[in-house]
Amino acid sequence: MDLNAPHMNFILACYIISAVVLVILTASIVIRSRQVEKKLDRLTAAGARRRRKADAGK
Amino acid sequence: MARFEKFANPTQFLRLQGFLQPWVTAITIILFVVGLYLSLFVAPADYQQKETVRIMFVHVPAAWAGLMVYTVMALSSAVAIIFRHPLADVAAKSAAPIGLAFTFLSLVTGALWGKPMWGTYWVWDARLTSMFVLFLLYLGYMAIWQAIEDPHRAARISSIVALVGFINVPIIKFSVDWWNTLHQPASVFKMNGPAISPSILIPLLVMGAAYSFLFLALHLLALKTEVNARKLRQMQLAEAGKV
Repeated sequence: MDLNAPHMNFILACYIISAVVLVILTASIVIRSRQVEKKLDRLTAAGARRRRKADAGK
Repeated sequence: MARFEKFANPTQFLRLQGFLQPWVTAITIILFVVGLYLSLFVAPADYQQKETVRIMFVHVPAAWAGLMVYTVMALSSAVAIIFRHPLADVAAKSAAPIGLAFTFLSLVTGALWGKPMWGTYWVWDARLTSMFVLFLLYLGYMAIWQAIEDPHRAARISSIVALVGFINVPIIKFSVDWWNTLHQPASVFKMNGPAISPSILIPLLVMGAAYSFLFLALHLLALKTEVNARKLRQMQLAEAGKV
């Protein structure tokens, strides 16, 4: 790749924006996954159980 | 069918996800490393577009992925409505932010490619406009989930929106054939085969596979998170009921 080619700023901008958006997307999914798992573990450790269908109807 | 239905059970799905996640993630990383190497260092400059052709290797896969994710959402929504599969609306909901990101990337990189090639960032031609409509459909779908508190109602309404919006997918695909557009016509998925040289087609296909596997890796993780989030909600409701 010729870095002195015309319009190189447009090419680099495309690759950088793609990388930033995909990293933010991945990070947000990973962080949310960890947050939910942590909360779930905390509740499970505290002895909480899921609402049964019979309870849900009450 | 019985084998497929086995994965309707969220516990079975979580087991499958745990097995697949590391493999899919590893394949995604390998595909991106190989794809970027081919795109930046192996593919030749185009005789007409020169180095600017390299934008294609991030623009086209993002557009393909944006369309693929919406198709997955529409199929999942159909399954949710027809079969009431317990994971179907979860699959559609967790795919939406990923599809939105891909569609956003296709619009932004397309604009950045358009400026040096067409002399403008944007024109309201059929391909660009229909792609922008796809972006709005993703936003609308996600807004429904945010706005409606009852998850069952949100699932039903968002599924209908996803299915109605699917009409836009073939419009995007065939917009360059049906209307006179500034955007170039299809050059890869054509009836008489690709119109691109293998030296450019191979890096493009590898990057397309990388984006597809990235979607699969992120979707598996987002699905797991959504299943756990629903479990968490049920536990919180049960706890609140005790008080």
